[in-house]
Amino acid sequence: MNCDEFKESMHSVMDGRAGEAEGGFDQHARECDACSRAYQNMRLISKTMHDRGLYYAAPDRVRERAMKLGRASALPARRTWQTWHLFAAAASVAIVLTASWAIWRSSTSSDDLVAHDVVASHIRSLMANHQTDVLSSDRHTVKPWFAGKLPFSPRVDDFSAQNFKLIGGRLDYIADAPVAALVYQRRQHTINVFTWPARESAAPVRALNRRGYNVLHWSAAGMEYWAVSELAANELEELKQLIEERDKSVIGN
Amino acid sequence: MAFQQDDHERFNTAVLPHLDAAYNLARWLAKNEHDADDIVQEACVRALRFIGGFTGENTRAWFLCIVRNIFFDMRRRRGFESPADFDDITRSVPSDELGPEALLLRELDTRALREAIEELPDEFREAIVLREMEGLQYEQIAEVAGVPLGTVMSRLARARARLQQRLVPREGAHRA
Repeated sequence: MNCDEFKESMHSVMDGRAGEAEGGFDQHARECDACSRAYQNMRLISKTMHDRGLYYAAPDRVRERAMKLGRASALPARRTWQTWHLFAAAASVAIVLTASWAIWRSSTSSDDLVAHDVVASHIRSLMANHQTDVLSSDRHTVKPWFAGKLPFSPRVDDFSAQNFKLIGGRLDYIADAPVAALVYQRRQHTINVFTWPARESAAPVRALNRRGYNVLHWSAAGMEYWAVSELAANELEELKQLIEERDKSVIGN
Repeated sequence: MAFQQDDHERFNTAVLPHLDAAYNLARWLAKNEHDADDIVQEACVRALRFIGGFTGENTRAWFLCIVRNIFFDMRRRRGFESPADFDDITRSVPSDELGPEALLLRELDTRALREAIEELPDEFREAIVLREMEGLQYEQIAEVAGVPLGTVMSRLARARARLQQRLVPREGAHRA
């Protein structure tokens, strides 16, 4: 790899679309000081952009106006519709509903219901601003908190060093059973990781997108995991790998 | 009217959770609070009106697309045509842009970075904000901005090159 190729590949590597070991990228970084510096500088700029200090969260005045809009009857435009418009709309909605119900019936499985539950729970936790029952980044506080409340003991770890900060834990109820929800944060995004003892032997890894949220489901070391967030799918995958590595070391001991 | 109720329900559960993302994008594009407030409010009104017809999966990208369109409409109405010339936006990164003489940056002040980001052409700023602050994939950025994947990649590369140019001290600069 020469310098031009390196500079071209740099962005794919930074954005997680190519590995550092691919095509001699890391080898060139070791051999060429200038390229290595450029790469490290880019990474520092990128890392600083993740800084919460640069993020403009919606201020309360904007949030209040938006929520007001969300309450029914805030949109008068619809009422001026002609009756036949409504009939047409109602008819097409009926057709779509019937069709989707048929599709839903034929495709739905317990997994889909769980996916629905975890996404709904994630949204509720964001909207009600009730993300945690126990607020702590210390796993030695979060883990014992679950002790008397669940029939199992979830494994809890903080991954702050990898930019997944443990915010706390919460009790939740998914698919008719109490489960542990571990709450992580990356940049301004919340990630809910739901976990409970696996009911079947190893489920295959599944990545879904539901209502705009990414969902990742896997099972490892006898536990089932469902991670939900508006984070990009590859970032959820990162968290999954951290949890899996942790699980491996638990079993290894 | 169940139909209407459903729109509000979808707005509340699928759009509102992305309000921070919408505001962040609007605020970085507009570079001031007042316009950002207006853009987000208008985006919410449009989202509520059109959500009934939205059948895609990714509500966040859809909502962000509404936000950016309102900003670019606003910019056009006010007569600020693209401050970055066409060449700037479409050209790929020249390899000499990073310059082998760049020194190693040890720390970076957020304020300096904020200023450097604000100086980027709007289209570059949009791409870098969506990538770095929202963690969007190239495909999603392309969806939001309505441009091909290659354009997203070149905008990102050029945005980063400019930030580096602006923020990294150069070898020999102190001698000049």
